[in-house]
Amino acid sequence: MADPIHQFVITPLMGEENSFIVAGYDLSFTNSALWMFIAVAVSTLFLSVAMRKSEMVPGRMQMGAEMLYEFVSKMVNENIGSKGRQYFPFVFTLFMFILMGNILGLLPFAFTYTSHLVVTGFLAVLVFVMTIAFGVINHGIKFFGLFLPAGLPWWLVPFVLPLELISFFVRPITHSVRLFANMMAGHMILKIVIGFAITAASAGGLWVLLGIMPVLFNVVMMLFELLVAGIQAYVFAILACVYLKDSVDLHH
Amino acid sequence: MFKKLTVSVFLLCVTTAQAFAAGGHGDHHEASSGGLPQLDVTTYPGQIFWMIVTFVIMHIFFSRKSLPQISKTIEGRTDRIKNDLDTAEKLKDEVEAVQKSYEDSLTGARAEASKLFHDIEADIKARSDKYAKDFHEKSASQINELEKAIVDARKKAMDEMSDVAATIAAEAAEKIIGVRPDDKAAHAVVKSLNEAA
Repeated sequence: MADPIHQFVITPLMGEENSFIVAGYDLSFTNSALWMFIAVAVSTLFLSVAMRKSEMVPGRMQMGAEMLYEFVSKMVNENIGSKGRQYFPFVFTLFMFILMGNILGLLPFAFTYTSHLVVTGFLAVLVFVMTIAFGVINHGIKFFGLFLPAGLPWWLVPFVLPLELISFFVRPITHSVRLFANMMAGHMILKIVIGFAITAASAGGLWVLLGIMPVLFNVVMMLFELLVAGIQAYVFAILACVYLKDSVDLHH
Repeated sequence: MFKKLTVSVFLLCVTTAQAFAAGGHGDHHEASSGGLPQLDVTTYPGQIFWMIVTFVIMHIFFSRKSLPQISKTIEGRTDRIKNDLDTAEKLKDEVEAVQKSYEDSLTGARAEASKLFHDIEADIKARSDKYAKDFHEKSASQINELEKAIVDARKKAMDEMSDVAATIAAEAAEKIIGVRPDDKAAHAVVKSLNEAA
């Protein structure tokens, strides 16, 4: 039976002799890196081809590109406000990077780089660090007033401060685990269910007919996973906006 | 219907291919020491490194090329629509102004026409009144003159009649009594008789 975990294994593609090791760290080109590059290629190619003519009356592709733009633009404006324009390219890249990882990962033989905690964790920590860095740059020491809501009675401070601190520092964890767990679970379900079909098919005889059931189930699952791929990219990007808002607006 | 069928067939193909992919992997379990590959710390530096590389490429490409291109296109379209709407609004205002001036001139012309009409009417009335009055006065004076002339003529005729009567009376007296009375006395008698009558 197929191993549902195996799809997450990272394997170097260039062979042992081409391994790329810097300061003791193995930076070899892997299947994960390959699919990251495919994501870059697909997304940049799509936007380039779609906007090749930049027509006044858009065609289908251009419409799609513009809808992506408007979608993220609206998300940034609504969640960060007018001061959030500076973050727009970052949020757009973040959204596209995750969306591409999620969707391309559904292709057969593909590797889903967003199913790795280190990838989602790095992106979440990036957002977290950006929030603090830009918050301190914009507001100086006042940024840390974020942990004390305005109008708080003094005797509540000892209770509220730890809560606010915990909820703030737990952000990158929930942010990254949500995406990672969704992607991993979805892909494991797809693999486990299709494993049943393989088991049935290799059993021979009338069991082969039973194998049709998990295949049909997976057809539905694929649609569902496509939905999850979009929703999780959206959730990650919108949470990034909500967190980044703290760096421009202190009141919440 | 056809679209739905196509999507279903496509998903079926993808799922089957996934099955082959899974089956292919199933044959050779690698020496990966069990456990989740996600927790294999040795892969972290490589993943982070390539992620930074690809993320930066994406970010540069999007922020330098795609996003300005799209925003320029959308802004161009918004401007164009706004311009068109503004032009339409301007033209509408112009049309309204023209319409208003037309209506104003029409109202003015109407008022002028009615004024002219009234003036002419009044003029005609005044003139006809004047003619009628003049005619009245003229005819009245003529009537007066005629009446006066008649009175004069009658008086003259009466006087002549008195003369004739006196003369006849004097002649008659001469024939009857052979005495010729004084003309003046005869006149006075006729006159006094006339007055007594």
